[in-house]
Amino acid sequence: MSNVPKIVLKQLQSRADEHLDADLLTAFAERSLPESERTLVLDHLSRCSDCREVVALALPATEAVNVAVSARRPARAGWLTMPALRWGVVAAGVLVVTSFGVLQYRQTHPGKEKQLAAAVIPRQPITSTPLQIPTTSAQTSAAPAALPHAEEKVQLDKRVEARKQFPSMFPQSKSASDAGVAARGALRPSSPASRVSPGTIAGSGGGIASGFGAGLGTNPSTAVTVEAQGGALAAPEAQASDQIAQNQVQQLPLPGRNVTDLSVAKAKDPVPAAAAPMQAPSVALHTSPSLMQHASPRWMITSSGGLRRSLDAGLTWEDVNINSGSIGGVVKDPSGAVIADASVTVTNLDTAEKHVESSGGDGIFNFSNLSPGRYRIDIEKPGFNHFVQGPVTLNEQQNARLDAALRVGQVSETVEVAAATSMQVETSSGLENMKKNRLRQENAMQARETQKHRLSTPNLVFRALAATGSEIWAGGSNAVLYHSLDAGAHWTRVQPSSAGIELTGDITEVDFSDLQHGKITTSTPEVWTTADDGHTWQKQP
Amino acid sequence: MPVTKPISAAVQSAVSDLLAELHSAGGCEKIGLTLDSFATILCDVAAKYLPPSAGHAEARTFLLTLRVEELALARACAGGDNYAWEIFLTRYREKLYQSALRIAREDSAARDLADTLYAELYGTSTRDGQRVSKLASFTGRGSLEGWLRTVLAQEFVNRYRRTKRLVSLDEESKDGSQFAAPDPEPLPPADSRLESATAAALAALSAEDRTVLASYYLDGRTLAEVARMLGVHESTISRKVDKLAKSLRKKILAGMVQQGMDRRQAEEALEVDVRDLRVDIRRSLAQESSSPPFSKEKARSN
Repeated sequence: MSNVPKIVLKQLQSRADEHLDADLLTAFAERSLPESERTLVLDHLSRCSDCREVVALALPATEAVNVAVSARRPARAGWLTMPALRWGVVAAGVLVVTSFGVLQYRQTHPGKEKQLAAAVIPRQPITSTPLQIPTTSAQTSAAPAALPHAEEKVQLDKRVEARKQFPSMFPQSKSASDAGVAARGALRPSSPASRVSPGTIAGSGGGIASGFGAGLGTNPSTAVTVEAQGGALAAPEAQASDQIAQNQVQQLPLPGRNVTDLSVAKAKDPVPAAAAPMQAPSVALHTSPSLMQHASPRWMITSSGGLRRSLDAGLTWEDVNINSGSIGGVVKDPSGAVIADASVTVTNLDTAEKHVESSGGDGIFNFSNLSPGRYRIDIEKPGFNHFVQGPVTLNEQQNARLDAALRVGQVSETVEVAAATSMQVETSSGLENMKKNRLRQENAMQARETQKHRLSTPNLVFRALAATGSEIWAGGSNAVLYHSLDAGAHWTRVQPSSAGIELTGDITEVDFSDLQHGKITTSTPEVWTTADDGHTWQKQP
Repeated sequence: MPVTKPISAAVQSAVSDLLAELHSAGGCEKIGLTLDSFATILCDVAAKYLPPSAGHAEARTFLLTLRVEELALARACAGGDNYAWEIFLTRYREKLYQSALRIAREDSAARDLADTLYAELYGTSTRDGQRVSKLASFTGRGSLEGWLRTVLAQEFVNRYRRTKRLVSLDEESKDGSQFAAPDPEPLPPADSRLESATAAALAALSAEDRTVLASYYLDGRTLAEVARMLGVHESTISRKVDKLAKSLRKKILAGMVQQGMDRRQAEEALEVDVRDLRVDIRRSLAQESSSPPFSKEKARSN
């Protein structure tokens, strides 16, 4: 009597009334239906094999699902969940903190630097060079020995000496801010950079300074100016690494898991080695607002190829402009003390778009995600004159800095500052402050870079993206491929190439199965893969 | 899309509240959708899915969850806007062919499938002398890309049914029962009770559970596929299937006892375990997942 299975099957088969429309089935498969509707759809599906078939057939390709799942759940790549590694991360963090302590100590006891450094981090080739910060705005430290360009001549004796001792480990630091800026520290992992710039740094074996940069200064917003650069880094790659160093610097002061992510990501061999000394007495880290607190933003591509981001699981969406820049600075009174709660307004003169923010308790304001254009900055605070500056031209990916000294007076009185007198414009690579020969060379590079951007900018149409936690890859038309490690606050353009062939054509799919392994499909169609998070790419036959 | 349902006041007020915001969020200006026409679209969509009793807040939440940008694009395409079509083709042309290929698993069929859909998207059918594009029925509940895949899948399933009907009529009549063991005997009288107990047990399950059972036992999908359909993890489905099979047997048994069968009789009627469903299915589909207790049952049923 084997009827029971048959009966059950028959019951399950009872025909459904009318098929569901494609919209509901799509929303069901994408899990965007409210619970009540979802139950209705499920009820229909349980009775209708056709609709079940449709749902099953219409599922996206498997890789895409992985991306979607990882975007929905903040779960990071599997290896981070391993306790040993997590503790490793904690240990690395402790080391970083210890190093800072050492720096502080050394500052007050200059004579003992070497021994201390050696004591804390034994068996590591250590560079520890006190940088005397001149009163002028900036200086440049040595270029690495391996650089093909011989600009060592211009360096300070001290550093030359140090470089001779530790040729491959000499850190390069520059400061683009004005006089007050001083201290910086550069902590570097000893292994080759593992996760920084894709593409451009391919194969430079000797320890590109990726890793940790930490900026400390009288003016916290200048934390960005710390850069680290390692030995075997070839000159043309300098700009890219500068940019990356900046990205990392901005991330560093953030609390919690982000720092953890970052340090693990950056250091395969997480033994921070050398450190540059600090000069500034006050240590105030610039905490960047926004992004990093939100572990996993959601991403989407608009129908016109723009990129949008949601930090609250899809409730609100904001446009992300990859070429955006920022304007930040400190509001001070005539005596140099910071002014909190001053109302700062940034107006885009081309679009009349306004952004308003109050300066924080440390006098700092920062407007990020500004599209390139001309801006006017207004600062108001009762008891002081109305401060106006502009127009200021903000270029692509430029971080402009403005330190405003308000004068005591009535708000109704306006002090207008002519453009670009006290405005310190600091591009991503801080080029202004390089030595002259270096400057020329990099300016040419920047010109090329800008041209590249100019070529791509008008048609920045994205067509595919892959996100894991705060890391995101976005690809689009005309071989546009951008990479961000910090949830879209900073972007690096990546140009995959292998054996002299560059990726061309439109990128239609970007898949990253984990942090290291990715695949790009173009319309041509070509398939490119990477096994090291975009440092090197291989074209699949 | 013609207005099929009357639009409630709550919906209308929510639409007028959010219209400006959604209009700019959807980038309607560029693709030639005026505020008025977009308002009509939003009202239609809301009226289609919201119950007439829905309040203002409910309508508002609903509108905010729509994918307005893709909705606007689709409707602008349906309205014949050139720029919208340009965007649409750049974004979706290749994906459409790729999806078609994944669904049809064969190049020429995939091309055929995608071309048919294109024709429908452009609007070959006419109503009152007006070209009607299939895109006009997109409502932005899910992504446009997902919708295109779903429409392709629907078309594919329709076709599959059609061809099958042409091939063999008795196959169609046997459709579904092909998985069960051939059993020409009429059902014995006790079966009415068994049947109603089974129906009751199934009806007591949640819609999701029934869908899982149907997908797994009836359609013979793998656990992984079922999991992806429902957007949950595979292990969840695996546990669920095991639990369901066990509890179903218990419930049917209890149901029959309740209807006046004595325990032994009921056991006898259930002599073949409900879980043996799997055995029959496995035979025809070579389902890979197996668990030891069932293989014993299989031997018994044979």
